[in-house]
Amino acid sequence: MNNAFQTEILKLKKNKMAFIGFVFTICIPVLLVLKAVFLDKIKIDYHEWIQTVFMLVNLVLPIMSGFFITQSMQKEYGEKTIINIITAPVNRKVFVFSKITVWFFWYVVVMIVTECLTILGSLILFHSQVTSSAICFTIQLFTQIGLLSYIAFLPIIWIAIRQRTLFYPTMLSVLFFVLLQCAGSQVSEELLPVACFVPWLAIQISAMLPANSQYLYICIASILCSGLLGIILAIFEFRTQDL
Amino acid sequence: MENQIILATKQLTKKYGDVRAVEQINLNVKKGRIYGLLGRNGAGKTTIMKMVLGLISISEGEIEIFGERLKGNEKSIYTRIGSIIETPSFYSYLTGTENLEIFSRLRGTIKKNAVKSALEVVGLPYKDKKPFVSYSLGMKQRLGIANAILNDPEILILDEPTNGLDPVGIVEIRKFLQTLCHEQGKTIIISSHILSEIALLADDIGIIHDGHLLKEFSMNELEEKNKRFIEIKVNSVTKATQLLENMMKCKNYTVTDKNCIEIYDENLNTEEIADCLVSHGIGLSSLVFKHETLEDYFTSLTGGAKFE
Amino acid sequence: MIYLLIFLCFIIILLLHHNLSNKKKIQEIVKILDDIYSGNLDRRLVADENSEISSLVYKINEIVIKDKHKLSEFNKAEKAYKKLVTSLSHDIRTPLSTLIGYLEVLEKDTMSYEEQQKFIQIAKEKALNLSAYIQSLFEWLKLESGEWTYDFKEENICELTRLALADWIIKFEGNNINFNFDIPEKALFILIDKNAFDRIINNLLANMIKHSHANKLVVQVTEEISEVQIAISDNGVGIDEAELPFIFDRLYKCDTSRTENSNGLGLAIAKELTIAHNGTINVISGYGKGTTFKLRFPKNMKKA
Repeated sequence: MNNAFQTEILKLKKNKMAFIGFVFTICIPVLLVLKAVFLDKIKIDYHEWIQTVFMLVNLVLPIMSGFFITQSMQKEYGEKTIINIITAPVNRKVFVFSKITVWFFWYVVVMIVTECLTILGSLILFHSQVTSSAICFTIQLFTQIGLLSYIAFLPIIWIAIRQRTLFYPTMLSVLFFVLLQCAGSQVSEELLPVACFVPWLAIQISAMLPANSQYLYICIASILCSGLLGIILAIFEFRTQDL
Repeated sequence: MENQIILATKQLTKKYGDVRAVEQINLNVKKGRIYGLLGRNGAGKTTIMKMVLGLISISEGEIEIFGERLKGNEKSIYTRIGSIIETPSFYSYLTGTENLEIFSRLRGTIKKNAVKSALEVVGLPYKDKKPFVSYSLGMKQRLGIANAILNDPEILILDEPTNGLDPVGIVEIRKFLQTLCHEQGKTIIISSHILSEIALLADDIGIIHDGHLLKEFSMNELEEKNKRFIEIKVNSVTKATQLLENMMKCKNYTVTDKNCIEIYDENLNTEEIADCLVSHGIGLSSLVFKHETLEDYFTSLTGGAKFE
Repeated sequence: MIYLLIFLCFIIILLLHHNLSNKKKIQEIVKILDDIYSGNLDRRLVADENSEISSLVYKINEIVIKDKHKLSEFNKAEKAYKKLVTSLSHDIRTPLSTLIGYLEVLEKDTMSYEEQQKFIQIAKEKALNLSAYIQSLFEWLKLESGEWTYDFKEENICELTRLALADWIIKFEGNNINFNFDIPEKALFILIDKNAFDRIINNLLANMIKHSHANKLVVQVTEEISEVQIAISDNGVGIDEAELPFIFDRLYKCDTSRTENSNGLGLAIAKELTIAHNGTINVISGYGKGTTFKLRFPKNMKKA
């Protein structure tokens, strides 16, 4: 497993998609800082700025993440390197896990860098308003949503394995999930109980709920289910797949 | 013990739904020899190889390698097998060296600088900057072979290794494979639809047709069995056959064409035949010693038009 | 506090896992070594380049590969030896059976006196050839088994060469060979075994007479800085360049038909004897271009 993971890291080095996704995502706080400095006539509110960053990052990051894993899997099938990997031999389960792990690794790196740049940006723009508790809050919010989003999106790897060289179905699923994720912030009070059971809606909902709400547990549970299901389905699908 | 069976498939079958792609294959590959899987495109050679390598699931049957059942021992067995399936597949934007480093890390290595040695053996540069996507077909094949021999495996399974190579490349690969087998004692299983290549290379042959293993034999057996015959072309087959039977007491012949007779009786003196025919007024336009080749044997087994 | 505990547990689990996986690896290695021990020298151990046992594993592989080489060399040598024994027995049986054939015919006493004499001559020739062959054979066997004892003394190599050649002059004249000896008057002393040197010259000259069909022979002794060179050249049919590397191999015969008087050992013996003197023997030739054998003996030879 260790070796499989390390080889995935080696492949990352020349992976254009990984780089592009990384750059696009971290650009958001950077560009918004630049925009606030050079373009905005009126001083923006700190919280509004953070919200904008947050919204954009949570739109772009899942999309880039989906692109990343889709391209990563599709390339293995397309270039047939998957044949060389499986005959190395590499256990099929281990292969799926190595992909998941490197995906997670890339995601976390992008997330952390984005958070750092956001905090840096906020310090530059609003240093008076930025308290340590505000920073903590930002980190906590970003990280929570980021991790929940990653877990909820795990079924994408199952779809990618199923679709082999086709990436349209996978990409459409990614976009669909992102759509749901964004819609989650617009859910009304009445629909809340039902919406909690939908993992991708639950991502944003979990950020809006108070800490002691029971719905929070439902949200987290449904997201974890989605993640687990994604992993299990991916392994099952790959185990018997004819290459 | 020389030449024990190192790889055997028992009733190996692959079904896609109701379609039986490959049926009841009983391969027997002997250690230290080159086994040629011969068959037309689509006969099932690649399917069999993929099943052996665990790339395709087996519908029925068993595989035994190194004397053990494959199921349950995959990791230790596959470490001892190197392979190239279909075209050599590597990451396009990585260099040859980087590609091999990835795969050597996945397989484990048997010596220091294994990647460097493997590249040296196939004649590719070490740590150069050329990405795989700009390799010529010959270089791609060579990289594929370097990957296959990285771990000094005991068995090599090569799916049409000379596919798309120019004549020089084909000869190089052939010599290389012969060295690997005869000097280093490796067992090589190679599939091809090019009869002439297999005839030059293989020690044993398995003929696959429509998903069935028609026959398994060694090239030595084939050469012994080879029917040697005298082929004569005459202007009157009926008269010639009469003469053969009455004057030369020869019954062992076949008329293969309207002007062509194949005589299987080797003891007949060609001068006598020619003399006999001509002196009785039969026009003899050609008299040749021939023997059946692998191609003829293949065609007779699979029935149907010869292919290129 | 609890996070520290969790962290420590994590570390402990990792270490245990590492330990277990090492144990498993070692078990696998032992299994593979068992297979190698039972004769499968093609088996290789596989390890991660960065693991602790990698250098151990690589070394074991090196040893096994070396063993495999030695074994295959040994098998090759054994095969060659068997071939040698077969061809030797043929080389002795054939002339012997011919000889016996002639003697049986003579025994019948149904021939004229002249015919009898002729047959007796032929039989005698065959017997002498066989004797010479067996002589060569024993010499070669002695050389191969290291039992040939050398008696190195300071001798004048020029004088030795002249003496050796003197015996051959009659044979040269009998075969219409024009000879030219270019040997310096000066005495060149080197450590040499007289008998061995005699043998070398004789074998080379015999080889030349039998095979080259030459009519001109030049023997030249020259003094170099640190060695003495003896060149024996003829203008005969020469030896094909492709065969040059092999002519000193025992039993090698250029014309692959088995001619009765050649035994393939002559040159091999000459080479062995030359090497024992710390000398070298080379041949320069080409098809139709004549042949030159060059012997080089070092002037200051330490007893080999």
